[in-house]
Amino acid sequence: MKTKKWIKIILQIIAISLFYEGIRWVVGLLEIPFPPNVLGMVILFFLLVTGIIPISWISDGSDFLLKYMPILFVPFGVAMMNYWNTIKSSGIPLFLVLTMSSFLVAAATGYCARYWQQRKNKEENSEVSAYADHI
Amino acid sequence: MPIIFSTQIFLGAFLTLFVYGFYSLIHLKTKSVWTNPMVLSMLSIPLFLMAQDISFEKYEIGAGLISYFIGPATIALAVPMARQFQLLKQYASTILFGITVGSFVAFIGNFLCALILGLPKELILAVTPKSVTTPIAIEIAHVIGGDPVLTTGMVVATGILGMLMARSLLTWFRIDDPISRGLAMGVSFHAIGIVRAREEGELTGAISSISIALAGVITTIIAPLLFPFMKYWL
Repeated sequence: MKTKKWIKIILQIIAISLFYEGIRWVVGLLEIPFPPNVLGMVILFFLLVTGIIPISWISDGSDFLLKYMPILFVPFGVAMMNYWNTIKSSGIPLFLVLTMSSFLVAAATGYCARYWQQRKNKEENSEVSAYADHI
Repeated sequence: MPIIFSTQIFLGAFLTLFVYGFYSLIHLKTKSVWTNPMVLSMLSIPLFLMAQDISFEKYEIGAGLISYFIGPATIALAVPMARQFQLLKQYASTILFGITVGSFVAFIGNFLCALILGLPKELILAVTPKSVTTPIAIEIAHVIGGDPVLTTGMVVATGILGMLMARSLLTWFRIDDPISRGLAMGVSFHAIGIVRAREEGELTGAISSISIALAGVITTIIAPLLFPFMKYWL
């Protein structure tokens, strides 16, 4: 039972990787100025939503990839050791930049979404009351 | 030096898997955000390499096997988004509006913050795509001429900040509905940060995972359009 599940996960990861290689090949061939991994994600999303590919065909493999995705970035993080001097020499300003910009982005996204959601709620409410008036 | 580490060309891959696996076991026991296996591996592998006098280049050969899967893993982000398709449709306008504004503010705002505080050019370029999930930030770094490694560092640092302060920050800003909170956390803090979004409930968590993928796509589209103009300020 357990072996079967592992085989399924491995086969699905191979399928996703082949899909990625296919997209990469097409992107290279047609010289599309878009990263193949992002393009592949958009295409797969449409294939899944339209039901051309059932989610169950790749769900175990993709859940596995997403669950362990952080390990894929470890080599990049380790490579940071070569940049230690760059980071150290602008330590405090860099920390300020990271904090400030995160505040900014969270506030902008949050306020815009909240504003939009409130407006939408108001519209829906006024539609309901207009309908009530007719009665 | 243990012979197994010095002769293997798979040293990088093996070491990464071993160290990450070890910290994952600890994380499973503690369940604390402070024992994040990725962050601990990133900190301790360089120390190990230095202690054993192994060059980074040697580590990199095997580690490339692991990095390869970044491509397929990005594609896999489509699955959670497709699972939440109902939710995406239900709140379509709010989600699209919030994420589009957020992605613009992030891309331009990160750049300007770094510029104003006088960071060196290579750090400005690394900070600019930092609000996007790592695999996509690496691609955007290629587009704008930034360094993928430094960019990864900035993305991870942003995620850690988000993990520490996302919830109190949003409460302080009085952003209180679950949709706006989920969007804000997803757009500004991505994967490490949205651990917090999941803690708040299913709706906030789901909206966050949608916004990670969507903000990545939108930023990939706007980056090559905006950057040629931003470049002049450098």
